[in-house]
Amino acid sequence: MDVLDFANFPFTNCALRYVEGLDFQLDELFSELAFEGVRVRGKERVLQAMGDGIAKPDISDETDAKMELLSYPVARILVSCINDTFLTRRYSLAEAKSAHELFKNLSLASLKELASDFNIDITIGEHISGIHFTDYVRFAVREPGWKLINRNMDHGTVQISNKEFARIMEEAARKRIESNLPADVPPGICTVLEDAILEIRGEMEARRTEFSIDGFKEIMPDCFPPCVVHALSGASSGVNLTHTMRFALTSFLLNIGMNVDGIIDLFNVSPDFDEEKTRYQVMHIQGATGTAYKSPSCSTMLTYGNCIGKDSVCERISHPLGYYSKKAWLTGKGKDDEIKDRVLQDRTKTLDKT
Amino acid sequence: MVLNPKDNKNPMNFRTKNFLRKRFQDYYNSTDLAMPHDFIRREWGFIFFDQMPEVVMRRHKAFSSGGEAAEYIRGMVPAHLYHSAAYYEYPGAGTMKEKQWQGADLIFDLDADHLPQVPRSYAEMLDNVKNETMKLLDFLLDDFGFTEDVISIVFSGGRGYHIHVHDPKVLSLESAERREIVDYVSGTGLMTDFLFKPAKHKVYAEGKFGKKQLESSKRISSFDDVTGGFGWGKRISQYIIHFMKDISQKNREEAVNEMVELIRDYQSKKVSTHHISPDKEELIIRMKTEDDKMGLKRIADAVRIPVDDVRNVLIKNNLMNFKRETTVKLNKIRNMAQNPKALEMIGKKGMIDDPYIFDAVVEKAIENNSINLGSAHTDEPVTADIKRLIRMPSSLHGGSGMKVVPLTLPEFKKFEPLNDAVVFSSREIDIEVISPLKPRNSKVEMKGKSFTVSEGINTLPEYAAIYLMCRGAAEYA
Ligand code: SF4
Repeated sequence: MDVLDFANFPFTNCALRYVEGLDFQLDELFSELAFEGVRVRGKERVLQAMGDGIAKPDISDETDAKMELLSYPVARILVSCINDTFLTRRYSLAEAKSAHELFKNLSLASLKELASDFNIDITIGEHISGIHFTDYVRFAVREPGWKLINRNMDHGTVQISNKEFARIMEEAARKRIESNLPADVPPGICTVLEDAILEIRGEMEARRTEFSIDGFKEIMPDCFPPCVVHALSGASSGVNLTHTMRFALTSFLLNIGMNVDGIIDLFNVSPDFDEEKTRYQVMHIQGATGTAYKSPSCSTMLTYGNCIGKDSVCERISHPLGYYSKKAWLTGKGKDDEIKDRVLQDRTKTLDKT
Repeated sequence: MVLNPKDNKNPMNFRTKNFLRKRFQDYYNSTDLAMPHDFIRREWGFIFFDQMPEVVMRRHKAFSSGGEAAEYIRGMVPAHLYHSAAYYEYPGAGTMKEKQWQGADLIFDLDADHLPQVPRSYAEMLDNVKNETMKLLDFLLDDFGFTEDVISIVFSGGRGYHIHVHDPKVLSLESAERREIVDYVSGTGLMTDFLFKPAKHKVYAEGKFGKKQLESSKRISSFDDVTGGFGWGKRISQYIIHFMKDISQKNREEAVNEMVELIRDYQSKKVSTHHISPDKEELIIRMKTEDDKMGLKRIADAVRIPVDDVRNVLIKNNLMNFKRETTVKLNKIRNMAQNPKALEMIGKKGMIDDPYIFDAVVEKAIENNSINLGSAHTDEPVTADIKRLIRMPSSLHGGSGMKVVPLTLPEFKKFEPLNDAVVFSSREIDIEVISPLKPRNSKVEMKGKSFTVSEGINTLPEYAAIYLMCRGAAEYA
């Protein structure tokens, strides 16, 4: 890989080493006029991450490539200064997604190099590659078709198509970017970047209203699907819910408009209740700016053994939220369409989360 | 769990505790305590005789040398000894956060409690769980490709086996990722759609009207490049062959009944009748119960719904007679079982030419090959818990007095727990069996002998006496 590739994949270790080898000081990046373009592009990365995604510019020569590459640390520092969970997540995802487009066009040799940058053990073939299962499960999408049990695996090697491999690389990139954020920012730099930070904050504020789920003001417990009822009765009698069920329950309740405190109260009876921890978890699922993870679908629920007590309404839906709105409609509590619009519309970001 | 210290609510008197402690100490003094891999980075936990039957676990302990650990164990003589599967930067720190998790062995807990079978004796129970362990080892070696040297098999001293995998590649896996491994071996989330693909070659049935192409021959996808396949696909194809041979050897009536049951179970799980109105459903049920001979088509015409719906309603309500259908299928299966070519197609090439016959069998194959690692609904399996403490190999189980025995694969195959995990002598001693004596404690089978005890004073070899005392069924007399 060369500097043109580094511009596209600035989160690789090779790219990092390349930047470290360049002859300049970090603070020059934030003070020198020569780097004004880099700073603008850095801010743009973050803004685009909140919008339709980070667009990769056409890069024709080494200077362009260097500028593009250097805008990445600028973006990371901006995100670190703001230090907002939701922004961090959204930004990491956007960086990974925009790289994903480019993974698809890489030669097998470059792909291989990229994989080894991430310590991924893979044998790349023309159409099918073999990846070690430990790397596979680390980065696989949480969907039935991606479940390890639904793959061909022999002696530790899982078969994947090259398209799937690109998807795995995306997730690997996302995880790496997110895990390195917020970065330690040398003192003073956030102040220097104040204007850009204000602009990003303004955008976040604008998005907050656009993204937030106002959902149902009125909660209708008698419309809850059986799986939720089961989990709730468990939670309120102090049974420890599994990870996946806790996530499913919390995201469901958030999606239908229950507030954080209400949910924390629900868990307050668990034997190992830890208010701090619970609040943190619920807030995490909610996302810092109020955009909740979408609750898992019925097929995911089934996969994790969380689909319990299926009833006749379940036959007609494929998502617990669908159950809620259908039941509400069946019992005459609301107009189906209206509710569906509010709940099901995929303006919530479904992140790979179990 | 019978041997779980928590269930042992009987008080244990001072003399009994003293005796057990003394005998455990003799054991620990006479064995060189092999330390687990990288034990310096592990957390330790202990339950002491003093507090029993209360279960007070003292954890967050760390040792910096083997000598220190051995000295502690020989001096304190715990009733139960555990160490973490996890490695920490500061294993002795008081909170999980401060410990700084750095990785963990991959652990499987095979416990007789998780198995569906109801054993008649302790010995039989241990046999069942040993078979289950064998099945799991097959997954670990073949599917996951772990080598024997990174797997240690440990008899738990109680009701099952633990498997520790310390392949460097698995150590850093997080909980959700380990859960995927659990799902893989326990058959959770397996969808047959992903298991099969449409076969490349076409299959024809010869009939009255010449050749007719069967629409849906399928091929198990793991057979694409490997003869005999691998993974779940291989297990399923082998089960199908086993099933075919097995059912061909039964007498006709038995075979038909078995098939009927299999198909009924399978079908009733699959059908959905929710789109059919209750009135129509009731009507169908009435028609069929009044006239058992009435065909699907006639009912369908009368109720004016598709034949398939009628069929589904009948299946749901257990009114469907599968006998005829089954007999046809059975005949086919018997023919195939006699035909080496047909068997080879399934066993070597993974071709399933007439999948309708086998859908129910495939379902059964999955159930049969799945490992039971505890209920997916209620508790997090041990494997997914990356901070769990696990019994230290070579220690004694305070709920049975038996040894927690580490085993290599060849040793495991020959292992007989009720003989090989017994460490105490056959010197006879007196114990007082306390009331109420639970039926399952009234008979002890160990070392190839069987002892029946009754309430009051009994004389037994020390190993059997210690077993009953540890179980809380007797006091030292
Ligand atoms: S089918 Fe869906 S809504 Fe119904 S119980 Fe299962 S997961 Fe819940």
